[in-house]
Amino acid sequence: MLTIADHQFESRLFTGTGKFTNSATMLASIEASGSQLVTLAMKRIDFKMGLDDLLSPLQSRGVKLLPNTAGARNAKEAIFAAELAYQMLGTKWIKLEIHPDPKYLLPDPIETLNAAQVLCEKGFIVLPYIHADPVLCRRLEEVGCAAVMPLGSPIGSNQGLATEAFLKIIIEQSSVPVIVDAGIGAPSQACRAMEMGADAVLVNTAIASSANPILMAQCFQQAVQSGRKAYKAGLGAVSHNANNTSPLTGFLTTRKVS
Amino acid sequence: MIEIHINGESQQLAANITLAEILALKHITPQSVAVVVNHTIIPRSQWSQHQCQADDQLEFFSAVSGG
Repeated sequence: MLTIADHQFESRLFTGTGKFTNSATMLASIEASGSQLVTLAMKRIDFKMGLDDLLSPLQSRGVKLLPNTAGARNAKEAIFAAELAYQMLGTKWIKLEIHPDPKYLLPDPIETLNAAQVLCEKGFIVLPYIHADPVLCRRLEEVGCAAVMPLGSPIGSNQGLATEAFLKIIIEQSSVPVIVDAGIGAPSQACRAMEMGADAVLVNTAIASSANPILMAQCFQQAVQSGRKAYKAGLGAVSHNANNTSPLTGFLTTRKVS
Repeated sequence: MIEIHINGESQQLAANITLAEILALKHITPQSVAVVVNHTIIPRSQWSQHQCQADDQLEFFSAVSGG
């Protein structure tokens, strides 16, 4: 069981709701993934388009909502977005993401730390999306973040765990849950993150952009469960040389072949 | 009638119209929206009392899918 703030999660796979071709596929994929925490964004209403009722089917499934601050370019905007989300959804949980650069969507560490401090003081449950920077993770923990969400690789890139060496340090040092977010492109990569000891992973694009999102969601669920079990079991040591797994008693070489 | 700006578009509406009345007029179910008036977030509990003034800048937000 994973505990973040005062909330317990049976599933260590969190999912996003973006990029699905339609909401029926999105909902079926979330169901198939077993995810109990889903991310959402916010937008100005386009009155010509009308409102897509995203919330009620999610709420009726009992999943916890994690609104994000995507679109915020600095701490001030992100704090405003968090307050907006609280008014909109009645939750103080917020995925804090501040990425001013639209090409790589890399998070701004200084603005993120400043916003995190203010939001934690205001009683928000802050889950910051950040680069895999162990020093920053410690600082975010110190200001009261409920978890840290370091990236594996750029958002939506499906490049996997490009930051693996740093994720390992974060996992080793962190006393709050570590959720590997962004860039996980395949179930094997989610499994790897979990084997390394990540507390959870957040996956969106890899599921939504699959030709069969529902099946892919199941694959991620199994990969995350398997990776977690492997972490608990303990991986064997890696060595440079071979170590025989069968007895090399030489029964063939001592036997004369006629 | 007064002119009010809603999500960037100007509209003529009855003087003293409340935020709750505007939501009803726009057929927006209030459960999943947030309202900002002149850059200040207005709590849900005040929507039925909050009367709009001429030239108010209103912004209505809703949750959308995202990662």
